[in-house]
Amino acid sequence: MNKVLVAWLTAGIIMLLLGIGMLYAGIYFFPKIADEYFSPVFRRAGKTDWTFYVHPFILAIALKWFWERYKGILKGGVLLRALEVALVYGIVALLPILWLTFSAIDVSLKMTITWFIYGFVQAFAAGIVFAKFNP
Amino acid sequence: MRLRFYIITALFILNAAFIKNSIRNYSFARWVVERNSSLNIQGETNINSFQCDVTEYLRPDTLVYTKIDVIKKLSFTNSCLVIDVKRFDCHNKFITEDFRDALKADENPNLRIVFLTIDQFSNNCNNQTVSGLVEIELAHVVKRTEINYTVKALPGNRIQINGAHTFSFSDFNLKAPRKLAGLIRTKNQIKVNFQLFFKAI
Repeated sequence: MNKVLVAWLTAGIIMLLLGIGMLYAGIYFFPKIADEYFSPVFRRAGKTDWTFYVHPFILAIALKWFWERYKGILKGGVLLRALEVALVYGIVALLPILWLTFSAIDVSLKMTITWFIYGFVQAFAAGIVFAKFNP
Repeated sequence: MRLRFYIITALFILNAAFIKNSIRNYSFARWVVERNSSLNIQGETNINSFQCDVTEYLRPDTLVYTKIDVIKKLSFTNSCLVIDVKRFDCHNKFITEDFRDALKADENPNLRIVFLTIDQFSNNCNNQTVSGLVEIELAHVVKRTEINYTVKALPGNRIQINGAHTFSFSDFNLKAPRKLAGLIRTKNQIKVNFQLFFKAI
């Protein structure tokens, strides 16, 4: 149980740091895309700021549940298993929800693609943590 | 008795001279704001910088002033420029919408600049720097500030006044836009530049 908690917390912290890092990298390398965050469709910073910082831990719970349930069928080394976790998360969760987001909300395709990459990299990092801590 | 008469007469003449002199030292005039007057606001975000412009002044406003010739001071009465906040164009639809939102354009659609005084003003100045007091009203907050202007006399009884001043969103109890839990943010300070053209009437 202790190992599971450590794995969840570690994955959450790593995903949070990666998320912030990728956001700043996006600002630096793709400033025109990042400008879109000023669109009124995005909530202003304020009372709900904490929800942004909690999201990696919510994702870590979901991915941890998936890992515990299906780790038996994920074969290979740490990186390969992590890649499979990222692929499953990307195809099963991210792709449909981002498709729906793009169809319903006024965000550009480029912005939506950055979110896909963002989620994929986060899940890959979580997969590495889980494969190391709870193989 | 005669002495008293002379003193009273002297005082009367002296007083009349002062009155005449003081009347001569004041003049009243009006400036009509020309359409090509413009105002822009420069700001920065942690992504890049932006500039929001209002390139036309469509209201038929007039500034009325009294000029005290001796000290070259203009004192304005009921003289203000009113700018529709929704006409700010930041050349980027996201920043334009967010900037208008930050200025609470729906609740307070007007930015009012009330001219109070201009010191050391001369009608024949050529790029002369003068200073003056204005009151800026935005989002129901009035801020009085001193602004330095460059004044230039133009042909046809026209005057060009350029100026700039740095404000903060917080001066008007406004919040600089922040998104994604503050990871995307606009800096609190903004620089307001204006180029006003007036025709003296």
